[in-house]
Amino acid sequence: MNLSNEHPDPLPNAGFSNPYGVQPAEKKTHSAADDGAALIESGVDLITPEVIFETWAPHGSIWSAWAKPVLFLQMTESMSSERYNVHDPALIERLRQQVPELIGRSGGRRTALVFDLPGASSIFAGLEAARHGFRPVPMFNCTTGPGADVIPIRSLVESLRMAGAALRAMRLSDASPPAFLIDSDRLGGPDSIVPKPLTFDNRWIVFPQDFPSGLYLRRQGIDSVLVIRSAGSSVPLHDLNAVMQGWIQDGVQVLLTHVDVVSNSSGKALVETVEREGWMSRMFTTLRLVFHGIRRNYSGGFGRAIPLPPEPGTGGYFG
Amino acid sequence: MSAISAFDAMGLACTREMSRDEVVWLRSKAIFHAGKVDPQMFDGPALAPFAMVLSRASFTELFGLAERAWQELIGVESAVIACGAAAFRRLTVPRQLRRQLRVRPTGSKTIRVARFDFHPTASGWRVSEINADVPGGYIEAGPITRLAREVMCLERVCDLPMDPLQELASAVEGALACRVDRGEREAAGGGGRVALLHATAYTDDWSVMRAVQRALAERGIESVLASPAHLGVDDLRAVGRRVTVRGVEVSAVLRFFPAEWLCQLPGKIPWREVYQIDDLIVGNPLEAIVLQSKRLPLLIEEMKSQHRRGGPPVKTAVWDALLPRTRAIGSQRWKVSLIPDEGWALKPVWGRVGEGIVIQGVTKPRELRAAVRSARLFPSSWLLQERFESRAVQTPVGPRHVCLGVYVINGKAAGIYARASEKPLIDARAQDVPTLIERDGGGGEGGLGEGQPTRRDLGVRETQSEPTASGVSR
Repeated sequence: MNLSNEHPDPLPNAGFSNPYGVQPAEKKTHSAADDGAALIESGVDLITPEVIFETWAPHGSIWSAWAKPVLFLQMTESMSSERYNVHDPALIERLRQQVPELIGRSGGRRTALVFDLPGASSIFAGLEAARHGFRPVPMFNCTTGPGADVIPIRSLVESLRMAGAALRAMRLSDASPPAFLIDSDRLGGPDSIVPKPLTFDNRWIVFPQDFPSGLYLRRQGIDSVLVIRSAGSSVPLHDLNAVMQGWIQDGVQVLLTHVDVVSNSSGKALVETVEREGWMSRMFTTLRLVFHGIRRNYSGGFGRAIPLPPEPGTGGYFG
Repeated sequence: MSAISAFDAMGLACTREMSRDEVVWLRSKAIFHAGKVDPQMFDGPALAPFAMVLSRASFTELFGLAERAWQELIGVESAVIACGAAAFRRLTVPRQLRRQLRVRPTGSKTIRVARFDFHPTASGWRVSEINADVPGGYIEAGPITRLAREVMCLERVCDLPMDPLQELASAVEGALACRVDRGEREAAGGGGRVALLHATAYTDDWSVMRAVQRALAERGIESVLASPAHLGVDDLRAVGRRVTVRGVEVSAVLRFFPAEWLCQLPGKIPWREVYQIDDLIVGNPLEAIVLQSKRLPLLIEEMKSQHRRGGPPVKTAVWDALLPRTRAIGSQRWKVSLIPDEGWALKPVWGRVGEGIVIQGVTKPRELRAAVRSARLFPSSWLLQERFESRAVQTPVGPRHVCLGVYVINGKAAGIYARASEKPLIDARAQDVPTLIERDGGGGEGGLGEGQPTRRDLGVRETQSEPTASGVSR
């Protein structure tokens, strides 16, 4: 039974006029400035949240199953109709310089990427990776609520909407390896507000079940994962670390490197191999989390209490 | 080829496997129409590519069993609360909650929602547990089941079970109407507004409350999504104490935030005061934690022993017949084999959706060892439950062990949330299975054949089903 006429996707890729000035992946003739101007100045929006989600998570790609729909569900009309400037040509230029270099040093099609960068940087980095044959998979899993959100999501929503239009114009193969996109500020960043009563605590964490397992990755011919964080940031947050350790246990090599999203980077970023945690390290991590009121849940992630205590000495809570 | 298979001995049948297009359509609609935000779990889709069909006889039997078991348990709950602190300790109710349970208000109107998890076994239906505090699965049991029936063109063959979202909204509407009838609405304030409490860091919890919000809005009931931190209590001399959410009065508080988690909140969040206010409509009330504790069967045994020595009677014949034997860890803690044999499962007292349950030969050795280690360290947080022989259902994707969660809202059965797993353990890796009801007159093998019109032929339509008196919708 063919239901294609009833799908919420009326925009076939074939013959799509390229209103954003973005060329297919194999033609790297454009500049980052073209991208930025096109993203902001284009009057063409993708039509509905369903269509935008389908752009980021097309049915043909096996990695689409892991795309998180939460932010797309919150692309309300009012949010979409307002213009919100997410255009940062300097950021896009920096990513354009650094991401290809990192991809060149990875294992190519045998490597999956994880962009753990602040806010919308991950989205634009994912877009840059898409130009080099990766399938960006947005995994932002936060909501908005009454009052001020602890984590601002508007720039994420707008970036997904606008970058989605650019992504649509690309011809990505269904076999493209994945580039998972998460927000390194998910537990709070420079733009976040201090969680306190009457703010909406929309901080979030990733769980191992949010990602494909290492065994699944290997079945798809992927034997390493390159985690890309922001230069100057410390080790990955405990939630992502739990995911990485699961991959390592499944025999996937996990590499860690950095991009500089703040200033123009000089020199090559180091790529280091993440080692399997020893039992001492695991015990220390567990004790640290228990001390903070966080308990390890059945699936190896962390949950059942807010990831960070809202105020010193008050213990953990959800919002 | 028939639309659905023949019913097995337990009255369960399955539809054909959905085509890829149907799966894609259902997934998209589940996200953007039903509001499901977790369509993928681990390496597989959260939704099964088929639906189950329950025979009318089994449907009637399950709903009847759930309602009768609920009647028994609500009596047990009152008896336990009357027993007081000693009984709460036996159930390992957190200390901060025990006092709250003793001082519960007498004038509050409560909405009770629970879900009994039934399993087909070689010896009939058995219940693995009751989720009496914050049962989930509303989206899958309601709108997604309707969408699955639609995409597979089964409207002529199968009925829909009740939608628990609508039943819950109806219960709230009824409770609010009661206050109007009693002339209390104006005096009580809140404007019929409902606070939907949930753990805001969990998007799947948010999605459940968002679905409840939509169901309430269809009935003209205003609601607000909130975390417990948004709660406030205003002490107004003229009208007494009022509950607020971000400064706005509410008439009711629906909770999708486990009662035992409330104890982890900072002291300045007034959840204790909220649940002491007399004229507040609450669902579920805090006393739901009594039935949520997996140690309840142990306490019931003790209460029955006391009855034999002259104590008050405890009637749990249906519940006893449905629930497998339960044992405390006790001295088993020191034995080499904490789990006596493969006939027992190790369960956490406060586990949900099968989390933490381990079974020898089913659970991975590493997880099994970790659970046993934890049970030795914290024996009162764990218990042993006798295993039953789950009877696998033949589905289009192979044999699956299934669990049919039957909702009971205010004592009335109110829908089914089914999950299926390849292994005889229903946990977070199990898939959600839309479950339909055999239409009167039979919809089994030979029902809808290949020649039936497809969904495309029929055209897209959003069906609004009419509930019937028999507990199903057409």
